[in-house]
Amino acid sequence: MIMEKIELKKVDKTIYREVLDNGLEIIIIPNESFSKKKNYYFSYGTYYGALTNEFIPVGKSKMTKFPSGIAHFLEHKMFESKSDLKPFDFYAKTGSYVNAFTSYKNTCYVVTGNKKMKENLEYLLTFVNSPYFTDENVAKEQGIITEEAAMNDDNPDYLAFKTISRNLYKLSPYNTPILGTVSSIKQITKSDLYNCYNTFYRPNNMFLVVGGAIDPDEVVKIATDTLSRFKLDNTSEIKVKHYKEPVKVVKEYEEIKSNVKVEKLAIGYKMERNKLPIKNKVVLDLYLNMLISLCFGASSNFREMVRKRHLVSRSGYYFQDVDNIITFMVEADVLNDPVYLKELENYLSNLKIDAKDLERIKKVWISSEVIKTDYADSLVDTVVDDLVNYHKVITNYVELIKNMNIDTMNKLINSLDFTNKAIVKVIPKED
Amino acid sequence: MDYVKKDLGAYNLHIIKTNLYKTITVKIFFREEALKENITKRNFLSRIMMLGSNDYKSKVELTKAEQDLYAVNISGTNRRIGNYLDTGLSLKVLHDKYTEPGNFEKSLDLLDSLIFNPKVSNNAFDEADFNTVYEEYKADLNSLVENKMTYALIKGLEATDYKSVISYRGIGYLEDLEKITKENLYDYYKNVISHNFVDIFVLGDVDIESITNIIRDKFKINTFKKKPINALVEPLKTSRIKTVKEKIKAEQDNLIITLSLNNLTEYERNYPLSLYNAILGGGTESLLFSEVREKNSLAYYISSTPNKLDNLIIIRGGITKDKSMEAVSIIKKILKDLENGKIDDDKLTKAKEYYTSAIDDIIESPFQIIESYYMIELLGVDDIETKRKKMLKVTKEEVIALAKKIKINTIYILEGSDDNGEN
Repeated sequence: MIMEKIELKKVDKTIYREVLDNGLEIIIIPNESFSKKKNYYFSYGTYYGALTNEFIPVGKSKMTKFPSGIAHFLEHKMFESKSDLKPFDFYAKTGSYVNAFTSYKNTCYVVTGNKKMKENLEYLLTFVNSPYFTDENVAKEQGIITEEAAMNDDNPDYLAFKTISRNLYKLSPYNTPILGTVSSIKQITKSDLYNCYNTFYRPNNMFLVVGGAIDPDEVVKIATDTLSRFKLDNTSEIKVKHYKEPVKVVKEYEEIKSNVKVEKLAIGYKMERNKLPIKNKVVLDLYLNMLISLCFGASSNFREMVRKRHLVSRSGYYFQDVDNIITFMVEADVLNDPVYLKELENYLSNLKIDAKDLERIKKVWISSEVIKTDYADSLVDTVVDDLVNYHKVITNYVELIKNMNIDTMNKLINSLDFTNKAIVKVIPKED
Repeated sequence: MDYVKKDLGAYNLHIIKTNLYKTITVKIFFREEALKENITKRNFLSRIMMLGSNDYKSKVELTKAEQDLYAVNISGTNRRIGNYLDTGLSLKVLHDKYTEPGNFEKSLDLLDSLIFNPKVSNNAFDEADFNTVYEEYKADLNSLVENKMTYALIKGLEATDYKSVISYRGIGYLEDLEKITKENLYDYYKNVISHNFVDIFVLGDVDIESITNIIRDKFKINTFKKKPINALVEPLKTSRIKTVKEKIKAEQDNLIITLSLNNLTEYERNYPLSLYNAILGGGTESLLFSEVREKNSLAYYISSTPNKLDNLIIIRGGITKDKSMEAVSIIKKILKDLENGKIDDDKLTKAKEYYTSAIDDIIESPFQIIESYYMIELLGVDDIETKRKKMLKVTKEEVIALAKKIKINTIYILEGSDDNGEN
């Protein structure tokens, strides 16, 4: 079998790529030949997550809206099976581990194990291609997921996050939790699930990434043979509703009283992507993450200052990518609210980066690219992220990092606009 | 993988030579008898030590130095292992062949500085650092109640036996925090450095002779030789089942059940117990998961964990509001069935698979490899290959015999309610 061989540059690692006739893309990341490690990792995913609630179901002609949280619900339901043997039982028998995750952009079914690779891969491809939804098993799941939602609602960090998302986005499904809401979960029906399944769980909308103690040819053979047993449709195109999220935030300020001891603060600064100077998405993401490291990471003066002055006890900073919008998010446990907010605003409007610091963080990132190659699971995760975010494997991270420079960073900083924001505070109830 | 242990007087040096990783990992364990009043101080100490030293005056300076050494990763963790408090300070960095000559030794110097050259003057820790840690630690202790799962576990163990070491809060105590000063913290530091048991592990593609010399040269510890204590905690006194309920504003009940293990043999503790727990609540194939969650839809999570040194199994569950007692009766029935020998051969096979997979998994992480050798050192347990062989031979009868020695001690329910129970 001749498959595409891809060198991950500067980290001594070779990976393989194959696209099956049915359209499924397979990426294989085998261990080095001298490795004694026995673990393998499979990630079988679909480009379908909580962002997609409105689309034309396969075989139909009308744009249809589905309840929020349905992608996550569907993920749970894939663990049902017509026979008595359920995926959890099957993998337990071989001492392996199975799980699944739904994000806004994708859903992944993952298996980790160190024996019976062939059976485990066959079964993964089989159970994800064998939906079995009944009215009873849908009703039962509604109970379980409502519990999961209730558990999240007990957590004030989640409450802050849920509220800031609602107050930031008017149209984008980022405004609703991945799980959906208690009322949307209750609306989901068996036929909704089949519509979503049939539309998005098709080989040309899916990928398989495997890594660790595996042989590339064997993987491709197993996948080809297993999938040939199913009648898979890869003809019709997928039509999804796209939203043009308005730039303006929905609600600028909200305060929630709850039984927290320390105030939770969430802020989102919404910006237009096309105002940023870097057009290549991979490169832009690298620069945005580098900016976070430099300005808010452990070596930043800002972090040291807020710590020394006891302004926050915990804080996190990141960019959220919402199509035409990029949002800078801040989540913090705040000890001194007015001073922290003032210092943050002041810092954001005067962001400056030293070229020396940039070079130092580049060294850190390059090290981490090398270390990552020791861990097949991290490589599998990175490849999945690449596929989900860029629809291709990025093979030259070390080179891209080496090319990062202070001029481009300064241009990016100058283009950032921190004026359009939403603030949510979860504050202690007065006794 | 070659393993060598050397007695360097004040401590043991363990070298695990392997080319499985592009990094070198060093981990230093300090341990002492678990006294409740030392938990908070010990946590405080590792937090402040990670902030800097006399050579790296601020966290920023320290972080920059770490980054310059090709992102050497340094971290500290505290835990209780039976009757011991155990602190692990570790370092992980790329091997010099991927960075530059001397990078590993410089990384060791940095760790050495954090441990042996703390920012101290006039017999007290630096005041600014002290205050920073104090405020952050206090905030963490105050927000304890926000994580209902952790909070329920703490309360459940205290309800089981608030005097026993099993209920000591790993996170520490607010009232103990208030007693810590920068002076008495330094006294405690000196005590740890000179009186704790110490083991140093190095894992990576290293030369055994030269690494021994380097470690001997850099880590000049003079601890007083002390007699080891028994890590195993006395089993709980058996009595009638205690049920304790508490209300809190929450959407869900959190259930904790403690099971006491009585008169286990060493063999039962190391082998049948792991299998019993895997069958009971070790994963998604376990009885707790399938009965309480899957069949009865009463829980989002439910599992059990054995704590063999504490002579305990802890069952934890997030249960639908007001349904905890329903879940408890299902759990009681599961335990009874196990005691009566209702164990499918299939379940036992699965439990063994689960266990041997966990053994094969050890090699996937340098820290797991170090941990498994540390447990051999600390508890004298069997090595990995012996464990695998013995575990595969465990019989159903042995698991049933063990089941008869397991009794519910306490049922603790943190009940979700619409208003705050404190009012």
